[in-house]
Amino acid sequence: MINKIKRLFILIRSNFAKNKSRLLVFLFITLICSTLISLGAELKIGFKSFIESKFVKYDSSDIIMIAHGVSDGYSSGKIGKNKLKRKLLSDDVTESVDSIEYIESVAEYEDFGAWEERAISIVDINELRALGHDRFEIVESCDDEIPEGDGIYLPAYMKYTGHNVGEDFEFTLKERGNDPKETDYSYKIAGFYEMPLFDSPAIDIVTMLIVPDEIYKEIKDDIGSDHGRYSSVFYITLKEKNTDTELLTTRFNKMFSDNGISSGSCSRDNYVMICTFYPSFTSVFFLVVAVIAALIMMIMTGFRISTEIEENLAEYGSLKGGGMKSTEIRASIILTFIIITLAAAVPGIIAGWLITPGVSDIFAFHSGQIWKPEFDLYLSLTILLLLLASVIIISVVTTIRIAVISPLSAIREGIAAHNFRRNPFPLDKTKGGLNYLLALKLYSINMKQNLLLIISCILIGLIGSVATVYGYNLAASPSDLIRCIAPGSPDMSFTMKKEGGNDSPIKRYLESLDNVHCVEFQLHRLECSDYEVYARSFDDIDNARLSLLNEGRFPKHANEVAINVIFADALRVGVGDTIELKKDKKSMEYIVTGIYQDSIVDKCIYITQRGMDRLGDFDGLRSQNNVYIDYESLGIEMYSPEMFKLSGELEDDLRSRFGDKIDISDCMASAEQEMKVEIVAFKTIAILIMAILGTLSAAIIVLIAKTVMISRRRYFGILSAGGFPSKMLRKQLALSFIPNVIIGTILGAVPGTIFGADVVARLLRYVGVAKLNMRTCWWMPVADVIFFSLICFAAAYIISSKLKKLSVYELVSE
Amino acid sequence: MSEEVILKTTNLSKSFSSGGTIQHILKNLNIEIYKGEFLVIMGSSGAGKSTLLYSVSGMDKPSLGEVVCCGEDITKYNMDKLADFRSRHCGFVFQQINLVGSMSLMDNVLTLGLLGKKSRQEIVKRAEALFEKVDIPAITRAKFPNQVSGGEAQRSAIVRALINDPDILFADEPTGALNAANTQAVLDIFTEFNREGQTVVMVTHDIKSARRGDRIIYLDDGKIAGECRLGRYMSGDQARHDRLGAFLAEMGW
Repeated sequence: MINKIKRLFILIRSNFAKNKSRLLVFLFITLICSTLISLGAELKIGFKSFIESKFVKYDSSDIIMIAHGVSDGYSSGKIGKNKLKRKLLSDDVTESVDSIEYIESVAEYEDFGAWEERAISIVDINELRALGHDRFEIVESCDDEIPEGDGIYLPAYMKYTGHNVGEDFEFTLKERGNDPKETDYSYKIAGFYEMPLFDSPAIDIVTMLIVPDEIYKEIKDDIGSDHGRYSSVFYITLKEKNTDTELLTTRFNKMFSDNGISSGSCSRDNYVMICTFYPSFTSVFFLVVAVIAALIMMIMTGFRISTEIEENLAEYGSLKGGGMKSTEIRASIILTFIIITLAAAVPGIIAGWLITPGVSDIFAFHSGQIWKPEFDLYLSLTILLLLLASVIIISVVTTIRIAVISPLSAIREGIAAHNFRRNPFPLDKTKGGLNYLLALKLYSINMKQNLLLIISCILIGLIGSVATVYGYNLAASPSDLIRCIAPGSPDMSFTMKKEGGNDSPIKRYLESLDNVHCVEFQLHRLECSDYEVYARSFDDIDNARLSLLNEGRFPKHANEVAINVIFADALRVGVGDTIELKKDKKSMEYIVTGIYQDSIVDKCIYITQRGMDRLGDFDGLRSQNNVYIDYESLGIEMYSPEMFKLSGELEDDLRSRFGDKIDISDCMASAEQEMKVEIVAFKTIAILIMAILGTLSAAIIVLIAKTVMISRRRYFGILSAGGFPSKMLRKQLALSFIPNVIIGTILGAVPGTIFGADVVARLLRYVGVAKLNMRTCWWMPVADVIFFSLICFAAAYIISSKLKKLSVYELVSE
Repeated sequence: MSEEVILKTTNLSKSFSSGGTIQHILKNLNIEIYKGEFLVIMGSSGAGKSTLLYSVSGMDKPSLGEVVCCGEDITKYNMDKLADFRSRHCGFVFQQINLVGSMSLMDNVLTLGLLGKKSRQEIVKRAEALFEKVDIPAITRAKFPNQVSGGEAQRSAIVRALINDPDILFADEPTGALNAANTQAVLDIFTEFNREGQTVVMVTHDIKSARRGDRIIYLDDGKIAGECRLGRYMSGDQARHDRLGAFLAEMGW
């Protein structure tokens, strides 16, 4: 037994000694594969667990409700804070309700180096602490002592927007109204806090500053008795954690609204979904690339082993002839690859775990989370075992040849020359450069490598083209993202100020302009199957440039509606189904004629004005107006700088003429501003994926090139002896791979380009995207082919520098 | 044979290092090769015959000394310049034949022939003429090396070596893997081309092959042990053959 183990050990050592450099490349491919799988799995599984664990860590509430204009001693609605609290408590599902007052205002402060105006809330830290729960944590504080009363705490995501502890945080609070009073403040940043439901900028809750009692009183004194700037937040804990929080928030929002109180809300489910959106989206991409890498790794394993067997067949034959069993020889090969897989997968999995925070930091701003993942042993072991199992299966199958071949046949086959029958591209008859023709000849004799390379390139071309489509359409600029997801967005919208009077003069003016038209709509809050839904009703729905329609058509008649994807998924309805809409006490049935996409959170519908009229009289409800410029007829490309210039000019024109009467919202600019971070994230993913695929394809080529250099070393020696300089030989070798790279990449890139939009749409499905208005162009697969061809040529050319060092004398005298 | 020196070595030395041990194969060799001569290099096994052949032909770089061939000092050349030198001045015939198995005989020849500056038509024409000369018909030229006899393969290798009209034809035991009939045929080809002015340098350990040479250099332990001038080969010249035999006996062969 000991002798058997010794023999096995000698064989394994010999395997490593013979193939050091090629096994190293194989190890590298396995390393990439295991890193990607680990990274993707951590992002997908680990991040969500982290977010959910925060609710346990902080004993966080399940829902927060914001009551605007409601504070201690004052209410903008029919009931006050205490009664609201009692009503919330009286709900069967509620276990406890805590509430505090806070200051709500509009403020200007610096973010990402630019001064922006945003809604802001200011909370007294003592009030938070008085709730008696660990609702928040200071995750980073200033080492330097900051005098008490001089330091404030910002949400942790603001670390990524240009703020640091110890620095001054300046902001200007603004009153509402025609002549808003502005007050400047400057405090030291004492630290950053973490607080579920409040610490993600993606949630539509205002940015919250936690301040010491002294600062809160100071600001309160400045504001005075402007009750509109005080609001309350209610922290609601539920009895059952698996209660449907979405329906519950709809019910609570309705209760607030019935009492004349403007509200906002956020639930645990909502928070988790929004915080994990980008990491999940990214992880899917990484996992897909990892699966491709794993497939390539399996193909490489088979290739390496079968090449190993071919190159050493005579050797195996003589070992078998000498009495060694084929199980021993096979075991030595299988164990060699197990060792390599372990040597690569373990550091790869650890590397994936180490890289994860860096990758998730890209999304830290959006999710507001600073995640330091802990090593998940079970997940890592699972990944490792899966990789090992795959390698073992492939090795066992590929080494069957050793078991079945007789020693004599092995020896003979090992020293027999190849039998060639075809002489492709005969040099006396084929026109073309000598080196190119020889490259084609070399290509035609390396059939096994050809197959391997084509399959690998198909897989790489497939995912690469999806990444190209996705990167080009979503990651080039915020405008491109808007175009893809919500192409029906208006250029701007305006509402009349209270004292602004009638909107007819403005609409007449707009309609008098060439290529501009205005569509009026009213925004309603309706109920449908216990959900709160936002309805836009249009007088002239036919002329509205509406959102991207995925199915069916927009409503024409009074008994029709179109609903958005989020709503359709929630209700589980489709085109042709009937839904019941309620407003106050009245309800009516409507047929769903179409499903469109816009919001990623809200449930929305489009309805005709006559359809809305069926639910009641809405005269006196403030209308909003969307303004559209017909760029197409002007020959201006959508989302081009020219478009933005024209849109900006129109906005300036409207402000100068009617600025005192209307509030204008630049929809395009707002969308662009909000999506800046998304673009960085999307761009990073696209670049990462192409970089990974480029590295993989280079590694594959290196492995194949090394194999060809070794198996055809005599060929290269003969040509070198005859006077071929090394540059020509290197170029020949590198060129011989190009036909397969081109064919394989095209075979993968063409379907990838055609179906790329659908694939990405599926990934974005759970945020309400069912169809993407993506541009796919003929040059996309061409660009992929060129990109991968250049990488493969460069990799092959670089690695073939070893040909320079080959001793011609040794080669030809072998 | 003229008195023009086409290749000259000065203190040529070649060493190999293996596992920390240095083996000195060639030791301070001074050789002159004349244009148009048929030089044979002989010696016992391990004397350094093939090493000498490849060191003077640019196939390998000497460790020390100087090699001037066709007016070029090739000892200073890097690998690519040596390749260029070989393509312009040298032709090689090997014991193992070393034809590319995946190409036809014609393609094996044209691969090296098209490296030069001549047009495809000219090279193809020259190749066909050479194939005719070595008695390989057109139908055989389209075959692969494993489809032809050893003699046909080696004769094709000779065509390949001569396609670019080299200054020197280097042959390393060209008949070592052939039977008697093919050996005779190959040697006859060398003799014929030599008579037409081709300089031939051949390494052999076979006395029948050695007879074809005008001059014999005997190597022993990396040094020239002796030299013998035989003059032009004449079939059946017994006196010449006896002189060779005596010389080899003196060398201890």
